[in-house]
Amino acid sequence: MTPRLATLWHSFTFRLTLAFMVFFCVSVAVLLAIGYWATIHRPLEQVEASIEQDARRFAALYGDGSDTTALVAALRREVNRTAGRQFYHMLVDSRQNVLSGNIPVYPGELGNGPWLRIEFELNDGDIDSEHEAFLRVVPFVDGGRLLVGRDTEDIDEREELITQVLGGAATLAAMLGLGGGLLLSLGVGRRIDAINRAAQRVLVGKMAERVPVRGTGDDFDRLSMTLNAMLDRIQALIASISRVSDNIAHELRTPLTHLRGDLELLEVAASRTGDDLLTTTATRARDDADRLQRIFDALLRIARIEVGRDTPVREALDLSTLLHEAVELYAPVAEQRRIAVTVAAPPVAPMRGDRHLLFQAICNLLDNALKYTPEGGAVTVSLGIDAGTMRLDVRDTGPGVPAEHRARLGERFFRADPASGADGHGLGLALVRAIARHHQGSLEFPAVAQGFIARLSLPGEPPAR
Amino acid sequence: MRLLVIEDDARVGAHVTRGLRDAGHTVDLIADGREGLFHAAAGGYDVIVLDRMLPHVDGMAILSALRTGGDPTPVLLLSALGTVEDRVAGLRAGANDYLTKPFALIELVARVDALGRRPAPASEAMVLEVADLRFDLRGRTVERAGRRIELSPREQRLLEYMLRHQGHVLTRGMILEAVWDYRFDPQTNIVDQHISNLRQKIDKGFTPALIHTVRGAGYTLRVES
Repeated sequence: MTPRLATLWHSFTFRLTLAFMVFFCVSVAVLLAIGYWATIHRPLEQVEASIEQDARRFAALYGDGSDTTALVAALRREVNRTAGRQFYHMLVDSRQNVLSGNIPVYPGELGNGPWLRIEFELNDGDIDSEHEAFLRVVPFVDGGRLLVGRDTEDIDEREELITQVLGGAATLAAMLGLGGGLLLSLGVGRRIDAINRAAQRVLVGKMAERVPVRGTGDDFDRLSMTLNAMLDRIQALIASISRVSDNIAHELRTPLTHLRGDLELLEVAASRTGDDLLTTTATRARDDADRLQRIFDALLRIARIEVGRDTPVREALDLSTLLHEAVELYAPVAEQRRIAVTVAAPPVAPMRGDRHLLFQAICNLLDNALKYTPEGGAVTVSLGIDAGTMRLDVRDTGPGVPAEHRARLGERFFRADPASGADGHGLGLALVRAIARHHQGSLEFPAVAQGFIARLSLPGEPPAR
Repeated sequence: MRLLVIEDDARVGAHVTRGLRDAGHTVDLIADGREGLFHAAAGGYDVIVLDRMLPHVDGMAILSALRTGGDPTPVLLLSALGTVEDRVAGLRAGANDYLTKPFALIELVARVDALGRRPAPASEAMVLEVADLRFDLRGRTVERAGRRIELSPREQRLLEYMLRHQGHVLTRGMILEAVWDYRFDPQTNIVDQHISNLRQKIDKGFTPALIHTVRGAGYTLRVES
């Protein structure tokens, strides 16, 4: 199946129409069956009964077959009666000579069954007319045979008509159903697609997107309006949350600035007294204020990036360069901890994005890898481009993260191993994830037998046209 | 240097003023935006420290008014807003540097120093020197006491930046922005590692030592007297 056909097959509306088509065909078949029974089967049964009567009546006249004059006379009389269906007969004696008959059948052709339906043409003047006869075959002890029957051409015609109608109607129904299904699934599919596309745009952070409303007031419009109302509500909530966090940020920043300034003063004053306890305490307090500020800044930054408040910067950049520069930046740390860092990246990896944010993301991943890899370990950074998606893997030979914790990596303040002693506030990966989403990408932690992989996927530059 | 600080928060203003005076500068502190603009426009300042949010007049408006009037005095913008676009907007409006509150006083002092003694634009010198260290910018070669020292391109940029600002305290943030040109928050004190590597190459085995650590602030390149 081509992809298009496969999509069609998976579309709900198309399947629905197919189901209706089958239902429709079955209905037509049932109707025709009833018609067949009423117009063919039942009349044929009646004819059969009357032929059976005739057969019995004429067979009684045959006697031992020595004198058939009375029988032939009776048969001829019956032929000449004009009321009702045309009477057909054929009388064959023991030597297969035809004694009387008005149907063009050769005795040798007669089968062995008790009933026969034969078709033949009669030449009546200059008109050929088609006929069908329903016949009862009566065998006699001496080898002679009598055929009696009636004309059933009208029934035959009806039967042919019904067979033709059945075939034609079924084909027509199938075609109508298929065509209708295509049209329906295209029409309905287009509406569903529009809703789907709008939802996807919202999903990647374009909160202002709305589902199109046609104004016809149909079911889809009502659905779209409900979805839009929901989006309005969500947007309002997000705005109020971000307003609150902005206010908190602003209200906290002022006292934090004062606190930091005073602690700084205290630190200087303490160092002048020469009192070690006082000095270290003041320094510790100032360090804590700095730490507080960093956590606070990181949180705000993640929140802003996630909500899409930071206007997305989309400059052309080369991810490969960023990667090499980040590795170079961290080279002294790796050297000091005797960790071998290898890089495998294509010479250029063009994409559009915010270089500062992406650099931050790469650095956070590298920093993490270097922090959790024991001395003498290895960190491998590889960048691959696969079907327009950049896949940046930062792999280390550290202890790794158990599966139950991996799912929570990237949550704010989540630390897989708080006792590991590595410093950090549990916001590094959350920031990377926010940056990835900001670029319509993702951050994943694939399962590996040994060590740990952080995988950053980003959409590459679409090929130039 | 003669400095103008326009800051409406009295405590922050006092703190900044104290720090700058301790560093040997003359400081005028103005709390009001309009009065600040009046003073700034009068000229005679080496650097202006400008709070972004002021009563009556927005700090950005003061900056625009100054720049529209053709005043080139270096301006350091102080802001409680820490986002990238605020920063970009500030720099685009003509600020020479940008610092987010809360800040380390020493960082502010170092940045003000760097702004006030900016090297002549596109310094014509083809050779940067300090003591017996020579950096030939044309050939990108570094020598100390006549001996050739091999440096990576990044180490060269770092050394060049320090040479161009010799005698100034350079904070880690300033070094990152100038040498790496990325605005980001390294989770490790990565700059220290690079300085330490550079030190190994240009100071080890030579006297006098040229790169000095300034406690709690950053680094400076100079010949200690």
